[in-house]
Amino acid sequence: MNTLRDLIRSRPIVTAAVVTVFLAALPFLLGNNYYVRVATIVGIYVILVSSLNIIIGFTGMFSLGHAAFYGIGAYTSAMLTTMAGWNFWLALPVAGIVAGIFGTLIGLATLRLRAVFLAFTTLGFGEITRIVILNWRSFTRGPMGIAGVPIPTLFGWTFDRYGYYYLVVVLAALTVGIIYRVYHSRVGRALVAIREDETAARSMGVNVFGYKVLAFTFACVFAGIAGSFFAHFQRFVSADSFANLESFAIITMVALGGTGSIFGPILGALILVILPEVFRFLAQYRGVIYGLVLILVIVLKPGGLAGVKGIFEKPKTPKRRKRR
Amino acid sequence: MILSVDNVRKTFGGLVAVNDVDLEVRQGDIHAIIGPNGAGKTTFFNALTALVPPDSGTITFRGERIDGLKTHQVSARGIGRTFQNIRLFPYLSVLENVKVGAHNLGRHTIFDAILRSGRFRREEREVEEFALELIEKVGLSDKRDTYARNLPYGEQRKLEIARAMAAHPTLLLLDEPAAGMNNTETAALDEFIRSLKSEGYTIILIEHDMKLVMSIADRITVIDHGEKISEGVARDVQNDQRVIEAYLGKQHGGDQ
Repeated sequence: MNTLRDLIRSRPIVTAAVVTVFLAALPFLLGNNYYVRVATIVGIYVILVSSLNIIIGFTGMFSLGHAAFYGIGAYTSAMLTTMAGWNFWLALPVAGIVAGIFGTLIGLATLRLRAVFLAFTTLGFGEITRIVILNWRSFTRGPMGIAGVPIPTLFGWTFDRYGYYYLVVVLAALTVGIIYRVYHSRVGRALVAIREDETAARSMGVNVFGYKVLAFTFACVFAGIAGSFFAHFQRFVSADSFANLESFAIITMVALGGTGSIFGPILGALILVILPEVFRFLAQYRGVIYGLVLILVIVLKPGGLAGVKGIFEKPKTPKRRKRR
Repeated sequence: MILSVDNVRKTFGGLVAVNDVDLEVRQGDIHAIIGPNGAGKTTFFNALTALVPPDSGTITFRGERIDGLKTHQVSARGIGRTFQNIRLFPYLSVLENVKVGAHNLGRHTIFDAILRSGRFRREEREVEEFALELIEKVGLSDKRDTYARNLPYGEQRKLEIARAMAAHPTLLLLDEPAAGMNNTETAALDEFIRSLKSEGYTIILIEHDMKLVMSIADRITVIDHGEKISEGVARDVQNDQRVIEAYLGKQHGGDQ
């Protein structure tokens, strides 16, 4: 693993080229339409899991309602394109911004309080979002959902399965790249410092509340963008897709892949999207699988597969040496 | 006076942890605060840095009132600190710990980071250089990529000082920097703190190691039960009856 990492570090351009060629060739290697579809779903989850990792893995906050922001993005995009006649390429960033605004509001309301309040509030917000979508018939069409979300077109070309696949690859790559760059900056260091020791971070001049709100907003923007893509990929949105079970699935992927790393979320998304597809007969036990995986990770490998520090790991304080 | 503390008071329920304490610290001094365990020294530090905002009293730093500011704003005004019970960022490397200390030297935003703007690249280069310099100064150059949690105790203390210095503070608050150090390490620390003074830092030092305190402190303030009981140069404090009582109890014999 280490040697692989060193190899990647020492040859970044070669690595990028190999990954690009691989991702470009993948749909042809897979051949089958169904496989391409699964690969596209993996891409959506890479965005969702990477963005939740900013909240949980980098900053050490607990959000239990990431699916709500995913859903807000999906509905924003679906409604703007079907009801207001917007173009997909305009609706996509706007969906991210709207989800981000909701994220900011939740953050401003709760992030001054102790950590558990964010967890409770996001859990509640997830449920409220679902219920509002379900019941506000005049606005969201309620339980009927929104059908006929338009297929994106690019320079007159209407997207097919390959089009969706390549678009999600680009979006996921952008997401991971942007998160990587933020992580390796003054901003990223401030976030990790907050995770590691809030009091010390404060004493080093980090505006803890401000950075928490920033991190939360930033993550919600990506969730909204993932939602927008999902709406146009599925071409139908309904409240069921964004229930708390979905938030729970994303958290499990963060935990399995490894919190606080860039690569971990990709790994988590890959494994937990493909696993239920392989064991198709277990599809109805999807929730059970996620629950078991989460428990196994906590017991066996609290840092996750590629994580820096586990969300469930106890902080270790150095032993104090006896005074002489 | 670089720092003037006037009548600062902090109570926790019925306990008066800091009882109307005054303190004047001169620019360029090493000013020690001593006192028995539980006297309120660390609470006093926490009140200065707004970790536990004082109930009353004023704090003036370089001519500006800083009581009422938030902790990160106090840091930005130029006060750096270390902690009695070491509070490093365990899962960040030595280098990254110091870089976090330099947080407020940078101005680049999340957008600069995403676009890798000129400002971002310049600031990151400067911070890297400066952080490496500080790490070398405290003698941790060969451990720059080690997680802070994996450092031995004495080196963690050094890293805390380097991290506190990274913000270019003018005033350093050191909370028991010699705790747990052996004689050789303490002697090295003595020298190191003197070198900080000669570089122009003003230092307030909480310390139990009397040999160190008497050796380097320009002035000493003694606190007991939250109250200032004595102040002056080492010789005055050592001969102050109230100080001797605070440390040894009232019934002391004549022979030292």
